[in-house]
Amino acid sequence: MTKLDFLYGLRDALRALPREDIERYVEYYSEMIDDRVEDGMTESDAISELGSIEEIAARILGDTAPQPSAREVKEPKKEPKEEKRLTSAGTVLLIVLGFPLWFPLLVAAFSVLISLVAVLFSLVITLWAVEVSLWGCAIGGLVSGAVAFVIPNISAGLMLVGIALFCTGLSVFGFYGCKAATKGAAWLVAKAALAIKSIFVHREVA
Amino acid sequence: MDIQLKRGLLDICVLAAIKNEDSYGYKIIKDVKPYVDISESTLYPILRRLEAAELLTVRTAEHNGRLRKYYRITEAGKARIAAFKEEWQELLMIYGFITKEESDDKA
Repeated sequence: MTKLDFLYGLRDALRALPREDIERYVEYYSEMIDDRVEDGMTESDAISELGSIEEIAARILGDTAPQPSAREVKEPKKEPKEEKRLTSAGTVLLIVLGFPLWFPLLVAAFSVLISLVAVLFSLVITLWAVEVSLWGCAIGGLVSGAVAFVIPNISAGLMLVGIALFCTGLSVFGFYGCKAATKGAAWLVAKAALAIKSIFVHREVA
Repeated sequence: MDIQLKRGLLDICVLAAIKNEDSYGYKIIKDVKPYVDISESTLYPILRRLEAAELLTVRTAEHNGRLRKYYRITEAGKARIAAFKEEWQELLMIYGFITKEESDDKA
């Protein structure tokens, strides 16, 4: 039997295996024959020393028999990984090419968000300004009322003190209102920030 | 020799055959054969197993106008030999235990 006959027979006997594995075995046994010949053996002696093709094939198939299941488990794991890598490469390409489109959109979305936050906080600031002016009215009314009693202009003094008391009362209510509004605004902004962050974090994970 | 025992020893023997310099399949067989019986079909799965465990690396080089695979031991492979030497001490103790039982039986 020549080396070519042997390798052809081996290839045929191993045809149940994946192509890659067959090539490995053929290369291996081809190298073994060549090395024996180089060592001084004749080709047919080298081949007969390896044993019969049937024995070798039975042994290989016996060795690899438990593996196919392991290989089947492994391969599906590999494939999604490669797919994912491909899609992520495609995503990167899309992101790069779409830059002129998505960047202005992103900036616009961001500025809209910023302006919404600004509007919210200006409302809160306005409320506080009203509150502070109510305090001012209360204090100013009391002081000017006291002055009016001293002058004496009783009716003006009564009116001023009345307004001052009214403002004090309102400011007490107003204070709780302002506090609630500030808390509400802060909560809303924090919630929105979390929501936006979760969008980006989620995308990174996926 | 017991097949399981021989199998474990052969892995170490193959590593020992490439311990000092890179070697190729046929030379490994020639070096190991005087000590433990080894054939081509036995060597192949051992080489694949050792390569998968990263105890050796494989490179293909040209030799006399054809390709030949050379096997080189890794640091992990050297560590495996060192670990075997330590395991040997345990084996000797086990051997002592086994032979002690025998002498007790006789007595």
